[in-house]
Amino acid sequence: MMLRQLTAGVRKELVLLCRDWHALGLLFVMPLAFVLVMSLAMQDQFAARAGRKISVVVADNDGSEASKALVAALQDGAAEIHLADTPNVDELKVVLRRGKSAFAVHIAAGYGAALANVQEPLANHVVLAVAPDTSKQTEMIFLGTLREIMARERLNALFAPLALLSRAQGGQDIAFDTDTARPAVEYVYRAGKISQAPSAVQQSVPAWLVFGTFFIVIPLSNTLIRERQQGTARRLRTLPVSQGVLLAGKLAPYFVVNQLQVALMLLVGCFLVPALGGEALQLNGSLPALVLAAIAVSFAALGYALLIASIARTTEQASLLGGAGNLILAAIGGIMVPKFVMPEAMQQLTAISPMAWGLEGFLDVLLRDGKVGDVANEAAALLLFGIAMLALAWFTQARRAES
Amino acid sequence: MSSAAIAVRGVTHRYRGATEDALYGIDLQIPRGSIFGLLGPNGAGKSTLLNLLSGSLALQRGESAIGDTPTGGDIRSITAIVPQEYAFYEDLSGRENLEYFAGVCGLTRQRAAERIAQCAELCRLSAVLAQRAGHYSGGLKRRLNLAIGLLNAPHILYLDEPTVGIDAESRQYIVDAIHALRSTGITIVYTSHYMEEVEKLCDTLAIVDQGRIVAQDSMDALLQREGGRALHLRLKTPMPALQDALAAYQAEHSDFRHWQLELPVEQLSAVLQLLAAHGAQIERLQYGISRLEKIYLQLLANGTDKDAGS
Repeated sequence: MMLRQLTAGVRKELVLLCRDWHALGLLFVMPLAFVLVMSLAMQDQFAARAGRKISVVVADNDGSEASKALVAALQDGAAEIHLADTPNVDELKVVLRRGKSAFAVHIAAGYGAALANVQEPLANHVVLAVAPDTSKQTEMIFLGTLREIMARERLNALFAPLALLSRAQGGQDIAFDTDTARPAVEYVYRAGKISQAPSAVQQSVPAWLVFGTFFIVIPLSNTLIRERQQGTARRLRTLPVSQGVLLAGKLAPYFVVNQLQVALMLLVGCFLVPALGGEALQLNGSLPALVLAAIAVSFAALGYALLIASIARTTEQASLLGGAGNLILAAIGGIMVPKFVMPEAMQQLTAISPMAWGLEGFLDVLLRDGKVGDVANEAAALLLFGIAMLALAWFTQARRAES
Repeated sequence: MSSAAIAVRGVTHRYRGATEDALYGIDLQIPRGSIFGLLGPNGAGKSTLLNLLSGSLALQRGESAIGDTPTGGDIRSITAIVPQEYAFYEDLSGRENLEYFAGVCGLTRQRAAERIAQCAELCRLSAVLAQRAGHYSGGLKRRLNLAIGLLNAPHILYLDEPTVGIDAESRQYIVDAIHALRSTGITIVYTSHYMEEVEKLCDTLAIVDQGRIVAQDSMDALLQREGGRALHLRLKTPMPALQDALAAYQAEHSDFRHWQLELPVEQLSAVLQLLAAHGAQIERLQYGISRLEKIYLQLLANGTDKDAGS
């Protein structure tokens, strides 16, 4: 009998949900759009880590071997070089403002000669102009690269006479190649496997997946409030069915929807984002760990939805509370702005958001090759959060029934 | 307590945060198989009483039982409530709603199909079961509301204003359905603001005001108290001359066209002859109609007077 009652509840909720286009849009289209937009929009932010070159406009007014070597070194390194038509530094800045490049490098005449004069500041000969929309992080990376190349060229220029002497005496060629002084770089998020650097999609999919999962709060709370307002809840209380079965019949379809959201977002990351020119999501980590993270996030979101439903008196209140609450949890939880770019104090604040726990759980799996044990802490925190929300919702509802 | 279908003794209820009780020491005896009217103005405590009886509110003080089972016990398989609101899902069809509630009641597939067919037939819904409930007229919604309440074949049915805000035809369908239920032996507790309807349907009734029962009796006994002496007349034209002629019958008029008199039934023919003698042309005549309404208003007025005097 209990199974019949449960099945009736599940079937009813699924039919209602399938007929609610607004809810389906909110649950599937919104996070999908976020994943696509953020994965594609943020890929340049992650490109420096991923090895993508930075676009640079260069005006070489020196034309010396040294200046050509500087341009070539930039080309080999972090920059995609576009040679400017104008030799004028001010016009170069105008080009930079209009164009898509992040930097402009102006090499003044006499740069080659100045290299060998240790007393001559190279700042008099090389000017770096930065586009206004270039991030500070990218600026620091490029400036470091430029400084390294110029230092290497100056050393080579200073030691040029010594190199000539060595060659004349049949000795070893002396040239400073700073590449020999570089450490090896390994991306550790995928243990034991050769990996590329993590891309924007690797960060965006988990983040917006968690965000979308929590938006279950709006359709679920609205359903519960409508039942209360229309007297259906009152009628159901008088029918020969336990409240537990009714609740399970209501939550089970939304839990399934949450799991479909997770699957859809992962598929979007794996197939749709690369089809649109972004990096493909790599499904790392263990499947049980991924499932555990998905279940725990869903449980927390469902508990949160029940609490909102018990607090709010109208569907409008629930939509406002749920929507605004989700935005706040997302903002402080590192969903909208990745945690690693936040200042230290803000990074600590993320610990209070269940969305941050969910995000960390998914990142543990997808980015750090996590196993079940790696996501256990986050999963436990989310499950406890869900239980606490459920208890609060029950308490609030019981008080409401008496008033 | 088992001789009555529902027995209530000393029930008092106060909502959380309220400064006064919603119900004060309510005593009720509702005979088995009867249709029991529960009347009272808005806020009198009718819905609170229905919620307590149906088990959707917990009893605080007093005793209440369905047969031998306290209302705090497992009465849900033998009772059903039809709330005043449209307590179903407007995005589901009539059939989907009935199937859902039948499933929640735990009916087997076969039993559910039987009951859905029976209830839809009784409430004259069979032709519209495939339509979304949200597209129903107010009358169809009320009938669906009732049909859902009947699915579980309850022994006790609570109807909270089941005909409010609907057209005359749908109201008649519902009244007919309730009449038809009477023969099945079901006990119905019925609240309504339509006095004619209550008078027509109910065997016994209680009038509740400000949380207290101000009258409780069989319909016949209650109506005998007033004797049903009201005559309402509507004439084709105003007739001021009747004022003196009808003075002996405590005649009142609003515009010399609409008259109300108090007279025993034996004097009815004499009054009609008097009217004919004065050349009055009667457009409409009602005798003994809305008697309950008058009693009801009188009882409420008495209660108000007592409160004012105390």
